[in-house]
Amino acid sequence: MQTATMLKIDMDARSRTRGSSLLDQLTAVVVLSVGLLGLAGLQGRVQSMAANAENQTLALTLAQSQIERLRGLADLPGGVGYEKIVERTDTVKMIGGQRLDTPFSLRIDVARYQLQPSAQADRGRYLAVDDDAPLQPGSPEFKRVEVTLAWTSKTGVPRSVSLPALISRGTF
Amino acid sequence: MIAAKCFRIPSAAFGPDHQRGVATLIVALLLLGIISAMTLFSLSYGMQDRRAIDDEMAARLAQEAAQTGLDQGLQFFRAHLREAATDWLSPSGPKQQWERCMATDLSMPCGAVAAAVRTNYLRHAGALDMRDVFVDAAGAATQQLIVKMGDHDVRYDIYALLCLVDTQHPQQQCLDAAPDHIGPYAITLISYGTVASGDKAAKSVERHSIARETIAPHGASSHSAGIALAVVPGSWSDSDRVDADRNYVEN
Repeated sequence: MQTATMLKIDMDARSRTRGSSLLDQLTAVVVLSVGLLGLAGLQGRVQSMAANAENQTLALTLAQSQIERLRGLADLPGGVGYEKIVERTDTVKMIGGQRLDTPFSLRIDVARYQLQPSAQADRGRYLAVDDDAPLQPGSPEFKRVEVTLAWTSKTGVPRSVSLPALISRGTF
Repeated sequence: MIAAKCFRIPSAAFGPDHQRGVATLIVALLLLGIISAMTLFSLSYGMQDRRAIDDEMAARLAQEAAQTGLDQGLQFFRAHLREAATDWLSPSGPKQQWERCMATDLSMPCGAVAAAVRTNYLRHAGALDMRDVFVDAAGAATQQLIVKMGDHDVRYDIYALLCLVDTQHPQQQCLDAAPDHIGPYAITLISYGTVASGDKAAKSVERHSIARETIAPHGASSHSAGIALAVVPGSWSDSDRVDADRNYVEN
């Protein structure tokens, strides 16, 4: 009787030990899973941030090159190139023969300013004029250009970079 | 025998079977710790990378801001071309705006001129006040036509130097006294662009850039072909070359 009792106790202890081991392992698996999921999410965010930063740099480079191109146009003699600086939209899919992972949509906004007589200023003031207003020889004018490059991030968030500039007509 | 079995009961509860479970948990936590450390390292690297890119963008925007200031300054002088070398030059006149650089003046813009010829240049008093010819979208007088580039606030100050070109003594570059009759002259614009770098939570650092251009409205360029002007056209953003008093001194 006494032996049987001892054996029962021994068996109960073994089964309790096995149960406890399984519970520990399950706890370990759960802790590891939750931790790994959190870290994977964090890693995903870091990668997303890096991709976004790369696109932002590329967009700024594209915007700067567009502005340089427009400045070059404005320097053409006789105002020929200056007149060609107009609003336009485009899609940039390739750079230097290489296809981009993320296509950029390009928009160029242009506002034209001419020095016009003003009651408030002796020399007149630069005021906005219509795009199709005739060029007045000798009258100072410039264009305010805003180059915007927009793209959609891999997570579907729309992003953009805008670069404004003032572009003068011809050389001084 | 019975005693031995009785003795095994408590020992089994903390025996090898149970220890296996705890070991798994410890190994799992260790693994998690190692992976966390690796991820944090990667995150820190990613953040540093991000900061470097933000910084580079700010530097490039500062360069654009300086160039924009230069373009606005050019338009300002286009509007004031007639009086720039007449009324503004007239000594003791009510509209005099040019004053001769002092030999020891290292402030903008005189400090940008080589010391040997500094006194031959005339500076426009302080940074240009351009509010008389520029208005914003609402029609209010404005000093800066562009105040924002992307998410960054930008600032640019424009300075001007006048050189009455000395055609007889090219080594002097400019006349050391204002003549009665204005001959060829050159105006050098120096634009100092500033952009704040870094997000709002992080420590904000300002990035600077200088752009310069010399304009010769009255044929000074044909006379000054053999004159190496102390301030030459061009722009750059190498902050190492901009000293504390915001000047770049030609070597």
